[in-house]
Amino acid sequence: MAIRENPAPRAAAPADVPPGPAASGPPELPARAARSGNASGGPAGRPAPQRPDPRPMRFAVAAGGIAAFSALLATISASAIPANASVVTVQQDSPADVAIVQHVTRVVKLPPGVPAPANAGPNVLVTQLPAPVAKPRTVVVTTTQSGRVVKP
Amino acid sequence: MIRSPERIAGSATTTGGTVAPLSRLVHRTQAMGGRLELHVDAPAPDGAAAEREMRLVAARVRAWAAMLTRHDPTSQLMRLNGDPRPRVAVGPTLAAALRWALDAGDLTAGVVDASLLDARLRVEHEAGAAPAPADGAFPAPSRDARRWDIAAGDRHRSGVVARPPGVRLDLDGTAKGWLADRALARLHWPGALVDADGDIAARAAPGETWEVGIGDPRDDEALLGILTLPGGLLGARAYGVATSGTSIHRWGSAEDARHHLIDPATGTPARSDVVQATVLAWSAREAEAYAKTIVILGAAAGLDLVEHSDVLGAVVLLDNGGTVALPRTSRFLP
Repeated sequence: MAIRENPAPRAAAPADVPPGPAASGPPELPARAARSGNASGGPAGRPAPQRPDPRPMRFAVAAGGIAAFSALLATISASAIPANASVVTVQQDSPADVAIVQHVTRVVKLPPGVPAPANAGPNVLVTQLPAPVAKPRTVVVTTTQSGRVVKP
Repeated sequence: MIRSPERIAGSATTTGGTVAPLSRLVHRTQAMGGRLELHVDAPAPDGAAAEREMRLVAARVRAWAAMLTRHDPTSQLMRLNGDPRPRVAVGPTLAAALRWALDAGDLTAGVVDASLLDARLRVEHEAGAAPAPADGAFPAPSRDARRWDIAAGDRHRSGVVARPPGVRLDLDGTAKGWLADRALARLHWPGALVDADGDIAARAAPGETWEVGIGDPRDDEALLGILTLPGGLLGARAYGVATSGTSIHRWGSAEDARHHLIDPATGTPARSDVVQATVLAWSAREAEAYAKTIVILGAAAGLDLVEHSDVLGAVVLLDNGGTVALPRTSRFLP
């Protein structure tokens, strides 16, 4: 087989290539032509509109997602705080009670039935628990000092 | 005594897109000188397999406890204590329990100390609750006693214990929680709970909750509170709950009451304003170690120590009748 030397340039390709825009660039693919409304694949008659830069919108969508996630986290955190924590009056202990926990930075006592607020702060060590409650039927097991005889 | 497992409750969960009913099964028996309860949440079709597994695990717990007890002179622990050699090889179970005892000492700044067996026996003997030693005298407390250690042994997971002469070890303060965790690891169900005579290891499946009451030593019918232990959002979550105190193992008059929790600083029963301490942690063995630490150190120093740990909560009954807790405990108190 003879090796063809100095092949003809593409401009000198077969003459049955239709003239038009394809002559100055790649022909538009049929599918792309259909999406752009130029189903015939021929010349559109006007230049395709410039697409807007998508990056600002992407940044906006990402920022919105982060904001929504932060709001969700804040809601979950807030729900963990007892509803009545904001109205609890924290009282300083009597001197006798302070003497019991003298090494503690600060001690607070809450009225019976009021749980300790989760946002009491790192310097608050102990809080008063609710009064003893009657044993309900839903408790699965009871933790006790070992060796104790537990009534069924 | 081994009683047959019983079904006490039913619930439902979603498994593989279908709703499968869960049965809560309970196995009750005796071990470690007290009660042993195993609870599992298992799909109804797997009930028989769950019951079989609970029986096997209970048998394993009794076998482990028999190796670690100080109340049987033929146990592995007491054979170690009776061995005069400075270095003694021990099997995998005793080695693992002793390693945890060392870790518990590190965790609690030395308050949990496994080398205080003779100090405790002396207290029990003086109270008339234990016989005199064979040679007629208990060894004097020594700071050298803490210098015991365990190295890797020749066999897989075995160990070699090295002790100063005369030091005898006691796992009463660390073994129950450790056994509860070990038993829980062998219950292969999403939800499971092991109650080792008051020290509890629990695993809560997503959407499921265990409720653990805190016993009030002043009234068998009352609770100091109820801990609610929920499962995680995406997977099961493990917990440990343990209670320690001075109102059960207690001897002597009201003015000169003595109990079993020895202060390592003095070698005598701890002088403490804490009657009972309950700790909620990520494992039963940690909870047990911290609960004993609070009782021995007292409310102020004890709560200060656990405040700087990763425990999930603590509830303390004081000798003046008051009850205090770490603020973080409120997440688990409904």
